Amino acid sequence: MRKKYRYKNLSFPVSDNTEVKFTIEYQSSGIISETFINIPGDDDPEIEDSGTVSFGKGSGLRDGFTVSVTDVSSIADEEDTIAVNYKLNGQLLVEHSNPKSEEESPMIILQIKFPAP
Amino acid sequence: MKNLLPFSIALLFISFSVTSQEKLNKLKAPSSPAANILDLQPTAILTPKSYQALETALFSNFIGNSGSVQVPNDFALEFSPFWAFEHNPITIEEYLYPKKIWNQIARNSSISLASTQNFELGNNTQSNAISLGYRTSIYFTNDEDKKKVAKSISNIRDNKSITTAVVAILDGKILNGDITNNTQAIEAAKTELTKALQNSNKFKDPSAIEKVVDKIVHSLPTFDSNNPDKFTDAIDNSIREETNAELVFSQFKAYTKERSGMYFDFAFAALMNFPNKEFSRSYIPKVSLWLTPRYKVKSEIESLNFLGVFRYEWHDLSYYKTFFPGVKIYENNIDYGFSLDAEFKKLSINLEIVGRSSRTEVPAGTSTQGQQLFSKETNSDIQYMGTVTYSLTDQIVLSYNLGKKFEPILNPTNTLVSFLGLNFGFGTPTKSDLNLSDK
Repeated sequence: MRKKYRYKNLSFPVSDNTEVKFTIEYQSSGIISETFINIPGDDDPEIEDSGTVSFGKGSGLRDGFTVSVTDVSSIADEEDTIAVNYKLNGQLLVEHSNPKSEEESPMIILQIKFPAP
Repeated sequence: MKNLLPFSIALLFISFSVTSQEKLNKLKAPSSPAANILDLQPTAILTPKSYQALETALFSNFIGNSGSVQVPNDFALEFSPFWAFEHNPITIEEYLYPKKIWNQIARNSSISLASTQNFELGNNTQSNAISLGYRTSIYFTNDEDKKKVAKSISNIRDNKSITTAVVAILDGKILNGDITNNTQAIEAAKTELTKALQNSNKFKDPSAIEKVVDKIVHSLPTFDSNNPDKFTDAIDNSIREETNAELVFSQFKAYTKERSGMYFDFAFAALMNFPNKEFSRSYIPKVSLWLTPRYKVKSEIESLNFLGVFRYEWHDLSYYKTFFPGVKIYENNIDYGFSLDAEFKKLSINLEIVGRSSRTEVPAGTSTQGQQLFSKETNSDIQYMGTVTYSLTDQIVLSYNLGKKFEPILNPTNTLVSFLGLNFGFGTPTKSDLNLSDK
């Protein structure tokens, strides 16, 4: 069974009218990844490799957890780690890094709450 | 089968008569040019991936306990400067299809270092030797490669989309209290799996989707609200098994190491010898340069490989005269060759031509004006070999070789190779045994 990296109880205070933008930036090369983000409501965004998506306004994210699940693989043998930064509105939320010797195709799970400031 | 055993044993012995050949593969640009020029087969090659790791590897091997510099024995190191430097992450598209050729050359460049304390001189004494090498490779893509890569990446992405969607939605439902017992967990798993499989490009037939969903759901452990991660972990695992995710990815990764299309491999190496094991007296007796163009075509039913090799070797004649007296060495040697491999279902055909040209300028006295005169001493030879192999069964292979080998030193007219072989898959000669052996 492959290794999963869970980042639980993450919190990002945001006001009702602020738009929340979620960004994935890889720090390692030759990555193939898919990310599915389960946000409150029906409009769940997806990110292919790196990129930014909008979660909508802060007011729409109060009702429960937002869960981001990333499935990563790297074909670049020259790199010995898988490193990725998760950002919310430009601020670093999680800096994940794992040696490939530990897991070459990790699943990274973020469980985020968006409380009012 | 029993009656054929003496025949196959006889073939094994006959095969020894076709030795003394230069194998084309041995002329290809080596993966570690430094180890190759030293004729070293190290037990392990160090591959430091940062400058700190490189420093540590060099310091711990080349500096002795007393702090003095030493030549390590059976040492080999391979280092890629581009990947050790701080660099921007390279996307999968840029990694597979570099926009600039210089980027590709830089990324594929590696420097190799090897050393031994057992470099044998002509009088059988052991000496120290160090070699330094460089290697790079350039790849040119084609439509076939692009189609194969696009199809594989799409397949990998499909598998990832299924797992991420199912795990994210189930995890959310568990965290938000929508799943609290096993019945709810199984019901939600069924619903989300069916949705994800319908959205993917993998399964079009509803009955196939139903079958896969049932199989995955039956493999799941009982939902435990105190350890819900176990449930989602098991779903991920089962989806990966059902979609062959691991196999699909590993096959693609293996393909990216040997893609169909044109390659140019270039390598260079120089050998440094310390005959008295002292750093104060050193020679550079040999320098080699390799160029290997190769072209690979592969489809579902057949494969076609073309390989061209060119190797240039320079020898310091004064060194060889001093330390290898009596050995005939040419100053400039050029080895070249071509091979063509075609594989059909049960039949494979290999054609191979290897040539060698050697040249030395030797002093031939002085002119009336007192100028030094030289004469040229040359030698050239060529060998060619054709091999047809047919798989009678999975275990039994029939092969026929026909060709001409290099002139051996003894009995130089005996150069014809004609050989019919039957391989039963338990140790009879292989194609490479029959063809060509080490120098």
